[in-house]
Amino acid sequence: MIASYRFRETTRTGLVMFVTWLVVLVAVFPLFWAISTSLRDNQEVISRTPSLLPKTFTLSNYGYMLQVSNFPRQFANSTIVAVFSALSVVFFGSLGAYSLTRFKFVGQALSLRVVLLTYLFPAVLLVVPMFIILRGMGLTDSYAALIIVHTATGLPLGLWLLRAYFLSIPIELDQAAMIDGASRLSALVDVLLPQAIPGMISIFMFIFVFSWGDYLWPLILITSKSQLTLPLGIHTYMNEQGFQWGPLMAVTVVFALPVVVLFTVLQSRLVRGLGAGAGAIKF
Amino acid sequence: MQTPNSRATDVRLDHLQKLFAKDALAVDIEEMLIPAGEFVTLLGPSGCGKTTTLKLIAGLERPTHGVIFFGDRPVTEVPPGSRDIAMVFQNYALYPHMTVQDNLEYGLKKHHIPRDERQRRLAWASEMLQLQGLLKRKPRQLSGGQQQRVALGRAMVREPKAFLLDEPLSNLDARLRLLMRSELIRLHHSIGTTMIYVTHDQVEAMSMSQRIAVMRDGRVQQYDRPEAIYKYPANRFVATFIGSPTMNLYEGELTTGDGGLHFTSQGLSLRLPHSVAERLIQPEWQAVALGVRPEDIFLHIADRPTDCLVGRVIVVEELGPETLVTLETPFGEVATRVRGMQAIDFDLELGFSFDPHRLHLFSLKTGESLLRPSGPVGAPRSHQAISSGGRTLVQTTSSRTS
Repeated sequence: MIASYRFRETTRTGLVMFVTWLVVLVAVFPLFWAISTSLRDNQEVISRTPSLLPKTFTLSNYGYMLQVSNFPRQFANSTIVAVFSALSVVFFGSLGAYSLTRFKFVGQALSLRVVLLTYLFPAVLLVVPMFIILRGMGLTDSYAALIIVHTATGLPLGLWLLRAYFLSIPIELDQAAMIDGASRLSALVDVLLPQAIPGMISIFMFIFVFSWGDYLWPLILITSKSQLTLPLGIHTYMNEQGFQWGPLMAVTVVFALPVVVLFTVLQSRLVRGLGAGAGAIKF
Repeated sequence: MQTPNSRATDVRLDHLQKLFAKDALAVDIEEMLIPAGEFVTLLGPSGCGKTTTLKLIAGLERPTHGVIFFGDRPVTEVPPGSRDIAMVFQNYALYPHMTVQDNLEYGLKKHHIPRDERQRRLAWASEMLQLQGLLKRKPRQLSGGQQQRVALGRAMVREPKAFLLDEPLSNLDARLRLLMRSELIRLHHSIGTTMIYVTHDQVEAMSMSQRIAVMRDGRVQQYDRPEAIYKYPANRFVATFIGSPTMNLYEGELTTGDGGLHFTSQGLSLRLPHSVAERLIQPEWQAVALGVRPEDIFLHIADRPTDCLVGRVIVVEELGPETLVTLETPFGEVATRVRGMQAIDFDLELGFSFDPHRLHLFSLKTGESLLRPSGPVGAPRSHQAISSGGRTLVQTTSSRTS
C-alpha cells in the first residue's frame, strides 16, 4: 500500500514538474533565442546550421545599435512616456479612488460603471476621435500626446484597482487623522497613501509595461523621427533592404531589459503588498 | 465628587437629528447635557444610533438638524480637528506605518505643539500606560491590549476637552476587557476629562459610568445615574435591556378593590403594597406588565410559608457567588437569583415570594413605567472612591498577548 502510494506521489510530482518546465521552456525560448542571436556575427545569424549558443561571441550588434541607429534617443523617449504615463495614472487614480471611497455624490455608482465601459472598448475604436481631439489641441507628435492617451486608456483600470485597494483601508484611519487635526489632504498624504503603496506600485508597473510596449498609439500620433519610441524604432531595422537580424535582436534584448529590472526591483514589495492584502493595513 | 479637569467641557446636544436617508432617522435627541468631567455612556443595541451620536459629537458626521455645544460654544460647523477632542476607535485605528511614538505625536505635530511640550506629554502618557518599551515598535508588533493602550495614549497626549470612546474594549478577550475596564475608570479619575463612551455591553456601562443614556432607534430612552436606571427603569425596553438575567415580566391588569390595588393575570393574583400604590402615576384600571428582578424574588428553600407562590425548578445554574434558579409556574417562568452555591434538585416544588416594594409596573400600551421613582437616588458616583491613592494606572500587561 505504502509503496504504491509513494509511487503514485512520485509520479504525480514528476508529471507536474515536467509540464511546468515545458511551459517555462516554451515561454522563455524566444527570449533566449533573441539573446543568443544578438551575440552572433552576421555570418552566423544567416547560417543554415544554427546552433543553440553562438560559436563566436560578439557585441558588434550592440555597438551598431548604439552608434549607427537612433536607439539612445528612442530609449529615452520611451522611458519618458512610460514613466510619466504610469505616474499620472497613479496620481489621478489615487485621487479618484479616494473620492470614490470617501465621499458620497450624485451619480457615483454610474460614473464608476461608465469608466469601466470605456475600458471595455478596443483601443482601435478610439483612434480616430483621439487623433482629431489631439490634433485640434495641437498636441500630435509630442510626448504629451502619448502620455495623455496612455493615461486616458490606463486610468479606468487604475481607478478600479485603487478603489478596491482604498476600500480595504478602514475609514477610521482617516477619521483618526482628521480628529488629530489633519486636513483631508494631509490625512490622505500622511495616513492613507502609505497604506496604498503596494496598490500604487502594481498600477505603476502595469501602466509602465503597457505604455512601454505600446505600438498602436505612437504609430498614429508620432511622425518625426526624433520623437519615435522604441517599439516603432525596432521597425526601422526591418526595411526594404531586408531584416537586420543581429541589431534587431540586440534592440529586442535591451527593450525587454527595463521591464525585467522593474519587476525584479519592485517584485518583493508587490508580492508583499498582494500577499498581505488587507493584512498590510490590518494591525 | 472629584473636581473636573480645568480643560474639560460640558457637551450639550440641542434638538439633534441625523437622517441617513429620507425616512431613516438615525439619531433624534431632544436635549442632553453631558456635564464637564463626567464619564457618560451611550448604551444600546446595535443600530440604535449611539455610534452615530458619537460621530456627530466628534464632527465626523454632520447633523441634519440641531446644534452641539461644547460649553457655550456651538461646534456644529467646526471641523473635527479643531474641536479639541480625542477619539478611541473600536479597531484602534493606529497608523500602521508609524511607530508607537509617531502615532502618539502625530496629533501634537498637527497642532504645532512645541517639541519640549510634546516630549513632556509623551513621557507622561507612556509612563502612565507603561508604553516606554514599545515606543519604537510598529502597531502590528503589539498585542491587542498593547494596541488598545497606544490608542488611549494617543488620545491622552492631546489633553483634549473631551474623550470619545467607541466600543474600545469589544476587540479584547474577556480577561483583558475586565482589566482595561478598571484601568479606564482610574484613567478617568486621574485626568478628570469629560468622557463619552459608547457600548452595547450593559455591564461595561453599569460598572464604569457616572451617567448612562440608554438608546433605542435613535432616541434616548432614559438618561440617568446607573443606580436610577437599574432601580427605576423608565420603560419596558430599559427594564429588560439592563440586568442579567433579565427582569421577569408578566402581563395582566391592574384593579382596585378590597381597599387596595391588585395585579391579576392568569394564575397570579397579587395585592400591591401602599409603597407601590403611592407611586402610581395613573391609578385607574389598565393593562399592565408587572416586572420583578431576579434578585428581588425570595426563594423559600428551608420552609414554605402558607401564602407564598409555588413553582417547579427547571434550571439550576451555580455560578459560585450566586445561583440562578428558574422556576416554572402557572403564570410563566420565573428567573431568580440567590446568594452562594445552592444545591437545589430539579423538579423540586419550591415556594417563593416577590419583594413587594421592588415591583415595577409598565403600561402595556406605551411601555412606559407607571411608577414614579421613590425619593432621590443616591449621590452621584465618584471615581475618586474607586482608586485608592498611589496605585499606578496600568498594571503590567505588557507581556500579555491577546
